[in-house]
Amino acid sequence: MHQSLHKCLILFIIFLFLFNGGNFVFAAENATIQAIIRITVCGNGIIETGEQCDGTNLGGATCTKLGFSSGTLSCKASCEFDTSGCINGTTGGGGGGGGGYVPPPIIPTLHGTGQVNFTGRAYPNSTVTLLKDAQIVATTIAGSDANFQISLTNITAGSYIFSVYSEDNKGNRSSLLTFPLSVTSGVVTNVTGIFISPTIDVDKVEVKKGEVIKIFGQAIPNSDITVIINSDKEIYGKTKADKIGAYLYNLDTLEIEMGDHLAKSRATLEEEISPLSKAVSFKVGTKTVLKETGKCGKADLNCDKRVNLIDFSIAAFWYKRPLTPEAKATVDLNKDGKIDLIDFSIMAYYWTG
Amino acid sequence: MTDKNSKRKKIILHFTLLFYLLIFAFCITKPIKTKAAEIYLKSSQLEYSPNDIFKVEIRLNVSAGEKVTAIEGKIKYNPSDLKVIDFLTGNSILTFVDQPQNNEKNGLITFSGIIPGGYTGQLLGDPGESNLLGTVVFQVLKTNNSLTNIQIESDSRIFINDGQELKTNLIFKSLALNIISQELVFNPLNELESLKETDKIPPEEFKPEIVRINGQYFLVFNTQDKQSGIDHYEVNILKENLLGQLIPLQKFTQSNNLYHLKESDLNNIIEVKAVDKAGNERIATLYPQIQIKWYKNYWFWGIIIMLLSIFTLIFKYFRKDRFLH
Repeated sequence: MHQSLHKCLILFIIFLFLFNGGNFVFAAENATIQAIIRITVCGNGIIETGEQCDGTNLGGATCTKLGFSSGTLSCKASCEFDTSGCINGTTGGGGGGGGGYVPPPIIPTLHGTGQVNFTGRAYPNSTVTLLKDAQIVATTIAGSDANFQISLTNITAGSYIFSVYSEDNKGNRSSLLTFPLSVTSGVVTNVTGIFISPTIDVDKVEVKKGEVIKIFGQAIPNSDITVIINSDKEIYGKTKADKIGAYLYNLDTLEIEMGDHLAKSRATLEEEISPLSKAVSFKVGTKTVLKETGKCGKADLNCDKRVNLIDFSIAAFWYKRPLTPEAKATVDLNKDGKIDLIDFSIMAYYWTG
Repeated sequence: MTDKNSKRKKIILHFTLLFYLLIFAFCITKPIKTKAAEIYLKSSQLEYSPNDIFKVEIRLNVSAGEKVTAIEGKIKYNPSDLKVIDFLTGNSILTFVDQPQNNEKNGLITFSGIIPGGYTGQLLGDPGESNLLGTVVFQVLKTNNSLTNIQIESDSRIFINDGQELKTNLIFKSLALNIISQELVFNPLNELESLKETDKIPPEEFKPEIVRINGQYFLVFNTQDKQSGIDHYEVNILKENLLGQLIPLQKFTQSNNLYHLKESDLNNIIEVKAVDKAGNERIATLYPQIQIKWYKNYWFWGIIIMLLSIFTLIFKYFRKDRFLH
């Protein structure tokens, strides 16, 4: 009697596992941690991650604890120990415990302004663009290890919306990683842990059922890539980025039903997950149509491969005005016959600066 | 003995059942992600006197993982208790689509704007709040009411991601203020004046651009002021004279972010002045976009005329000389 009950329970659990398979994979994947952007402020008197000291707060460190015989330890404006006042010893032992992060140098700032340093990971040798309040303020090239660092000086104290994106070796852009930040006068704010989402693209806009569609892009080197296909039932595919960060996933369309689908990807490295990439659409149908290059992107109203103030102004011109057929085709993003806040919301989502 | 055995078996069975149930719950339970956004109002005090001038901040909160891309806000107040003095956009995270409007009669303030890239909520460690949508400056009127409410209308709208309207889990928090009967005679340093007083920083640097829309040329520009906010923009068209001096073709004209240009303006220097509420200014200059055609260049014609005059004079001189001989 008991044995049969046990068997029933086991069967029931197995059934639940099978029935809820996709979700189970999802739950397992959630064991890794979403990459967290960390903000530390050098100049607030509190020792935070990546700082050895802050102002007069030396965290109990002294010259002798750092291997010197005597002297006065102080703190540099970059929140690193200043051992110039320490006597007769060596800076051995690596006692500071600073880890891998080295704060960028402090550049003198104007009165009433602050400095913000951004560090994170993109793709090897890719262009990383930083936006401040929706306008491009800096670009840099990530190293061959995909790490990048941008410093902004003389930023007027106040709150800002900063955004970062990267462009891969094929010219595809990542999704915009946006975060609000308050800049305080006279201090250095360090924004670390930026993990840019992978880029994503497909080789076909329509694929004949049974054929393979290539989903590819670039991510942080050697990361594990999860490709998510949004259809009636979500499908999760796994692949790995190579040493230059390129990845390729061949999707067998036999696995998915006919119709429109969306694909997204994310990278996992050292138990940290990147944000989701942009979504690319494709159709499983009765014929195969290769993807055309050079088509205007969504919300790119003037077709300059950017979504910025110019596109905003074009939409603002048509806002609450009767649309010409040409405006209907290009400016009306949700095709409801008018320009309203929904179209602006779509534009904000696809913003590149 | 058999009784003891069956008891033990029962306990084991219960534990096994509990174990399976726990596994079941662990496997199928996904973390519930609630999509929620909140607009709330904040003032420095909760009690004001008639004639008092004070600020009410409109702020936004979102649940983790949410991306707010656009907002349409409607703020209702009692016009017999309060009067709107100003709407400050300083430090706002919005790029305004509809500039804030106040309907004094109905006591309704409306505004709409986008957050390019989306607002995803405050980050851990952010030393400030970074969620300001705008600031309304009110003046308390002489009223019999001892309590006044400023509320966010329920038909205010929040859009997430690519144009999806958030319809559930919207929280609009109103602000209840006490009005004390003792009238304030004069307060030279009210919240608005002290903000203007401390604002010595001009608006942020910006770069105007020319765009062609529907066959017409427009000058587009936008900047921010982190203290009192942008008050207005002015546009000036300048032309270089023969001596290289810049002559204004018109006085600074007040404009919104979209300024209609004549085709001839494209050959000229255009200045855009951003003025904040405290009167600080930032000027951005745009140099001619179109290379001036050679026949439209004054210098070219000047040189031609000069050369022709010299040649005429020389020719006349030699002719005269020949006749004399």
